Amino acid sequence: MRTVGYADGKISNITILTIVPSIVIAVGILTYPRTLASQTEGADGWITLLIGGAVCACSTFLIAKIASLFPGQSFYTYTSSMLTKPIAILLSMLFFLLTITIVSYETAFIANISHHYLFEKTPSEAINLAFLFVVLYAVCGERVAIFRTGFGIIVLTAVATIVLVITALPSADWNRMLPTFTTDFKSYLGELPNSILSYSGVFVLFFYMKLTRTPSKSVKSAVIGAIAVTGFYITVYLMCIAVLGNVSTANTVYPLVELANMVRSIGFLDRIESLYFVIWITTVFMTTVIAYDISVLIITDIFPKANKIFIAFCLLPFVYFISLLPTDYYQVSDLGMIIGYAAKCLTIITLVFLWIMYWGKGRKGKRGKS
Amino acid sequence: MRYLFFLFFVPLLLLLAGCWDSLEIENRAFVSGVAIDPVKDNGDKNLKMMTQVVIPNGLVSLPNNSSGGEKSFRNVSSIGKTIFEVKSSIEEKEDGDLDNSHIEIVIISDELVKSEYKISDIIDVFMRESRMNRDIILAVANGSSEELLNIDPENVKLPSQYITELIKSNYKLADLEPETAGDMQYFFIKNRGYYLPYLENTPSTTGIQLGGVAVFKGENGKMAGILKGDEITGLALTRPSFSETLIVDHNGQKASFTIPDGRTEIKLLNNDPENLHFQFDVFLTGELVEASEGLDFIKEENIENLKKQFRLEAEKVMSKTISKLQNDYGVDILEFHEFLFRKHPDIWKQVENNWDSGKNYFSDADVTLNIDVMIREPGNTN
Repeated sequence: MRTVGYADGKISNITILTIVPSIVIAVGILTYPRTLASQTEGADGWITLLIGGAVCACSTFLIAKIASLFPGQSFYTYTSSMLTKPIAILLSMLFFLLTITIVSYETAFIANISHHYLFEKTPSEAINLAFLFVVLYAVCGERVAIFRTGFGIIVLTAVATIVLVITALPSADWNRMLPTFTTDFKSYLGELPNSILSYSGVFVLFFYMKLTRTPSKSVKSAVIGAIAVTGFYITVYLMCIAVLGNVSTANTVYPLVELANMVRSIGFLDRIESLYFVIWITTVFMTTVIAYDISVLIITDIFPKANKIFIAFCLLPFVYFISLLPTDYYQVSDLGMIIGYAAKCLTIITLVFLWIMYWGKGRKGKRGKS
Repeated sequence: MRYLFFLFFVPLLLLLAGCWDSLEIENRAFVSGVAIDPVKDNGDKNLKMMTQVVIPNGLVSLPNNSSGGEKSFRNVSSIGKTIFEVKSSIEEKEDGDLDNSHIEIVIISDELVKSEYKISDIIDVFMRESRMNRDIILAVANGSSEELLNIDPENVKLPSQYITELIKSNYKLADLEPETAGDMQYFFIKNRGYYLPYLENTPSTTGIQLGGVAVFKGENGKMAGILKGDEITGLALTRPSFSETLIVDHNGQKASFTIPDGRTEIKLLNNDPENLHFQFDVFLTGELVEASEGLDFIKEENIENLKKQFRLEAEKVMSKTISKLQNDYGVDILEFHEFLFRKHPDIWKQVENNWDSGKNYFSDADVTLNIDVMIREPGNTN
């Protein structure tokens, strides 16, 4: 396969800004309004979304900051210099396992939801394979090309969502937002993990920060990206509540698809949810590509001489195999749950270790100098 | 090497044309309306369902086709224990695959929902199946619902389309919107009362009219009764915004008012859950459109008396509806429960489980009417 070489393979701040939404907005967007509405009353769910968003913005900041302190260094390089080589390999391997599971999960979810809405007889083996081939094609190319695609897709998603919100406005009933603040503290607390999980994926910045031209400035753009996702999630959630109402949102499997379903008769099109379907699938595609790319990147960081395309092809059978393991809707959502918790735990552990060592070493360094 | 490459990859291209789920549009049978009836001598609790399938060719009238064109629909019916079972057996009688994504209306016979079935069980499939849309309009028929899908409307080609438009335009006259299957989800899950359009057979050419609304009890999903004529007007006057027509008796003569943009607010006057006291603040801005008495209505003193009658009439129709709902049916479709839940969640928590069932706080609630009448214009003539 021939690839087009880009100038220097470095990425700009804007790109970092779009990577965050690209990875965070994934299949969760279709289901989170339900899990949120089922535990809160009225439109109160936005509070936990906001808290989740704040947590996400904080972790984005911490991840991007620590990575930017080692400009141009890969995750493997700076963790081994901070935490010794074995631990660096262990962490890299854990992240590697996580990312290939994410790829499999997203693929399985795509197969599941397209079964639900589009295909009845097509076996999921075929859907998974076709989807993964396209993902593989994207990963084999230049990394910068992935980011450019991601940029386009995020713009498309943003525009489509704005259009969706505007076209859904006539069917919105703002009374459905009431009553406010009636959810009790316990329910908020019980809901919070779900909200935080909706925002998982920012750990990719551990790996991508080495590619930026101006690492210190990229931190800010990454945080802006995280805030944009929060705004996006809250808007979509409030729209679901206003159009469908809390009860319907809580009792519909894919509230966002139903929301698009409500928007009817635009010109000659009677049902436009298939259009939105295309857009959501592309955002899921983007998440999958980035996760796949990270898993390849982890290997090439540890073995710099390895051929990227070779590794990408070698991973495919494993990813494909895992994606076929969950067979029904419940198993797919369980897998999503496991991945969410694993990603959060791993990110927090890595962050804690890195920052502790950084402060420790920083003091030592200062003492050594004086 | 190059030839090997071609030998391997060119046959792969053939796979590209494959598709497991391909279904040509000609093979789809689009369903536009569904009618559900009970089966006579019903020992096995069977349902009878009729689907109206569109024949696309019949929808297009060619200019030179003077014979009146082909039929644009066909009705296929079958019997089964569940709606889905009936659907499958209908499919056996059909040459195409039934496509349910464009159903406009589901009509259910009142005989079915008065006693035997919960309406939520019947229409569950219309919300659960993935290709269904939430915009399906539900209606209840007086007697057989099948007959309604066999009417011969003159202006549109499909009976189901005619019925849908009939319901929508009638609701629109009162500035309301009919409940769709998507809206019903709320009532079903929360066990709240609701009302659906009630269709009746008439001997007229189209053979159908919107006779009123059927009121359903939330706790058991059964039909409690119907509201007709004046009672509908009374119900409309309790909505947050409405447009209505009132006919006022004035010294034995009649006068008609239209209320193009009426408005009603609900208020709660006390906080005692045992004996709630609601008030409807109704703002009626009427326009006199017809008066059979030769009084000079451009003079203000003549209109004063009429205004009083106007208010009394509004009060009469509203209290009739409210008392019927509170005492006869015991179903809260006055949106008190919405109001309490949204604006007074604390009180709602206490009465929630016994609202229009069990202890029936709804029936015990006091309702006062505070009607504010204004006659904007007396019309063009005196």
